[in-house]
Amino acid sequence: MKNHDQELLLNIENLHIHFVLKKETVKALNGVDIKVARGKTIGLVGETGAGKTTTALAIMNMIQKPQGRIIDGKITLDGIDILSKNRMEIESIRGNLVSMIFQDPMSSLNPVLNVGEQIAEGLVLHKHMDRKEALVEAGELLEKIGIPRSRACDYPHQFSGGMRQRVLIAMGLACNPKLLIADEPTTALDVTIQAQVLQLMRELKANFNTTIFMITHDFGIVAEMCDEVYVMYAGTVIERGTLTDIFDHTRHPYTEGLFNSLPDIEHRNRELIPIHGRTVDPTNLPAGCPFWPRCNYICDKCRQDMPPEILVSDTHGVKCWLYENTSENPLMRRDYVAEENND
Amino acid sequence: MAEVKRVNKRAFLREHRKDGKALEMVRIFSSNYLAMIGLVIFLIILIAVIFANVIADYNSIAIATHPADRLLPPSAEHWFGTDDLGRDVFARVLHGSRISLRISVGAGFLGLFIAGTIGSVAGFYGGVVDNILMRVIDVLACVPCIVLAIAMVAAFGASEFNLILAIAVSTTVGLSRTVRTAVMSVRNMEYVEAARAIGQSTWKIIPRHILINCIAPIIVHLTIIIACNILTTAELSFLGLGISAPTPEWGCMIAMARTNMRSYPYLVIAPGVAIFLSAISFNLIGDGLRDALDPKLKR
Amino acid sequence: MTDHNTILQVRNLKKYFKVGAGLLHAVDDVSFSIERGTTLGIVGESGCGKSTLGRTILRLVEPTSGDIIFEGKNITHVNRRAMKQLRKEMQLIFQDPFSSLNPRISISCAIDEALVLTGRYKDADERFAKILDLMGSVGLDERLANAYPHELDGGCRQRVGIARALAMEPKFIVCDEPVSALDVSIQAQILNILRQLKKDHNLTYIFITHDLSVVNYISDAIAVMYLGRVIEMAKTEELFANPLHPYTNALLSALPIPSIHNRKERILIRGEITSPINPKPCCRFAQRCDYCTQECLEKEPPLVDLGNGHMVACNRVGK
Repeated sequence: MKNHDQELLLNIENLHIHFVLKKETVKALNGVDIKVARGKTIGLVGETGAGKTTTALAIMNMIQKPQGRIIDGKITLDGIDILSKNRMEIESIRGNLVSMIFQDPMSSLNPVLNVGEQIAEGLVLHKHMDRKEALVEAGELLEKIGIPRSRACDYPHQFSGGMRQRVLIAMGLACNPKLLIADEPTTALDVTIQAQVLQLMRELKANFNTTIFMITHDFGIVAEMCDEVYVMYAGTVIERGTLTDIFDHTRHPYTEGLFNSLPDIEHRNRELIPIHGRTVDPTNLPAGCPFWPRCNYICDKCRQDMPPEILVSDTHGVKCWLYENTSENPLMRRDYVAEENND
Repeated sequence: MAEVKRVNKRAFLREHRKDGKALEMVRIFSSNYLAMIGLVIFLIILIAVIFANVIADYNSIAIATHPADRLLPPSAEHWFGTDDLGRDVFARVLHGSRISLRISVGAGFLGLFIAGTIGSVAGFYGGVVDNILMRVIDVLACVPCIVLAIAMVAAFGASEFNLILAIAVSTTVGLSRTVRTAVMSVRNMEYVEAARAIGQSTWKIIPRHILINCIAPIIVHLTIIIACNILTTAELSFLGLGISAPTPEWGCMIAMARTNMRSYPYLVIAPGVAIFLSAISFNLIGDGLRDALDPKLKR
Repeated sequence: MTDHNTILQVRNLKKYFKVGAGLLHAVDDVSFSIERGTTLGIVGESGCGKSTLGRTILRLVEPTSGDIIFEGKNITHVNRRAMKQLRKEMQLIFQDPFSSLNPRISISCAIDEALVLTGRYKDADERFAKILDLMGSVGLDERLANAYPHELDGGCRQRVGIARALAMEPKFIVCDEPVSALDVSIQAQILNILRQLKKDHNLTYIFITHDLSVVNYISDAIAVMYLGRVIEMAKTEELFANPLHPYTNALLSALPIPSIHNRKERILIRGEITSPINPKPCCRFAQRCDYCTQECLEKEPPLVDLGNGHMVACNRVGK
């Protein structure tokens, strides 16, 4: 048991976070459990409002108080209980033990400081280098991400979107953190640039031996980058498993719906089968399983009780009443059905 | 030919009615207690303006001098005391509100008209037109507001209309820039392009899609401008450039009472507080309106 | 020249914008034609001029030179009044469902505005029946008629945008990234609606997007744009099976596939898109191309038809 804990870098248990506004309460997270083993890349997938970014901010202990309230739950990062730390302690953890890359490379850099200085800032703060050393180190980091050292004195506006995202990655990796959270790092980029950035992240992961916590809405990126996948809906993880579990043995109706909604590049005539209805409103969650209003497999129980996580294999957990008594997979994923028909 | 389908629009909308936009705005506005304080002060001032003559007669109390009663301290009979000519200060403050509000609101709307025209033309057409108009505004901006007003009053004489005109022109600088920025930010929105794509004509696009979305910042700025105008009116009168002597004007009253300020501070305090309250009420209302007029704000 | 089946033909269309540093070649010598009832996908990365192309075709942006021939009629220089009539035939669906609706106008009023302009309806009640009809056809609940845009989510707003375009009963619609701001489950709903409407009303689409898997699903033919130029154009199956231009190749291989099988070898292209301001007279992709030769730096390759409608602009091809 002790050994198992050693392997775990991040352990999120039963995390509930609500944002209490004047007139309403946004139930952002409603029981999130995520375990991240060292050296792995984890993909957190979900649509807008599923609570992906809130989860990431919680790991950084950056939930906006006083509206953001941690109702319940525990986050353990490298043996440290994140949520119980005070501001001083958490500031030494941020950037040092864990760092984050944001979605928008345009607004995440300070326009009046040159990039070398911005990378060096973290080094001065956490590695206690003096400014000169830090600037040299920053230059080296830039080389590693494929930007010539000479550009360290340039300002953010002189870089293109892809380059800025590289700079942000360099800043994230500056202090060699154990965990790197990437919140939709390539969403704002073009595909060819996205491919470059993903390639870079793969290389850096190998070099720095960083654990990556990748937030995305794109199953394509997950398939390419990740070892394990967590699918979120309405502030809870509704399915988790290895790549094979999720991609080839999809269990949750929502995950199935996502796959059925994606155009299949190999079979362009395959109809899209969208999930009907609209995404859930976190201020007004339905009773029971949050997905039931959009689900094609509902039973009475779904409307009343939230299903617990049911393990369908050692690595594959799913929150759905379909698997309460059986391990049979009743889902009809478009491509599976099509393949069967071909045979 | 197939029969044309019809649905009674009014009946349908009535059936599916939710709270109207206006009602929602009122609700947002009334939940902002600072704005409500502003509104209450404003209403009190408004009552003063309307009923000034009923409460205290203009000619016999506010204007006529009573040498016997000069410089009396506040009492039940003279709430704010009397001034050096024996006039009731309360009555004068009361009647002063009429002039103050008339000039500042009048100048505010006149300024809005001038600035609205300049700003929306400059913002909508852009390019050369924008450049020329904005340079004219830049020139005006180089002269301090109050100096500009003083110069105009000095040049055209100190009538009430000239005062309004002078203050209006001096407010044009800021207001026309506000209008221009608002128009420019809306002009490039996709819904304006969408309206063009369905073939809507320009003269319908401007009010329907552009101006209506500029109204919030403009109204907010207008209330602030009016608050400023109250101060400017007082300043000008204080300097002797606005309303002349016997007419009860707040700035004028302070100027007159200046000599006796040490011994009879209430002579300055009463009109001073009146200026302060009326200016702040407009500011607070402006703040509340900004929130209430934002269509994206949820109930 | 144009046969009856061609709804739109674009010939040597150019749109240059004056900017501080010179001329920005947003659309540079683009020619193509679309058959009635088909969808042409236009693919490219940000800044390649695909949105400008769509707007220039609709004359929301005035072209610098070239011809736009719609239903056999050259509309490049028709006056404002004639254009107003033409607007009924050709419509635009926008990318951003948040800025494409006026926040102070309710859903029914927004659609009504378009219906009034068609001049086909006698009074408000007739139009209102049509509004409800349109809302139904894009899957909007009629209770939303009174709602304002901020009360709706992205998917519903995009439906309103589609309903507004449909209100004009157009024959031809330019869809400018209509699904790229939406979540996948909603994206699929909108794509299916667009497909269904096309079938029901025999519409012709130009579908502008940066997402290859979407364009693959919805288009009959695809034009790939790079820095204002069409560099490759072919039927969809042909383009995906046999991409010839190095850029198309790179684009296809850069696309992350949501499957853990058949992983492909990636072709990474170096560098980033170069500036569209005063481009040199050479192949615009030359700086990033692995096959770049002296010829590429000296001569701009023309778009050559290789037969069966596959056109490509690359010096390498055809040798």
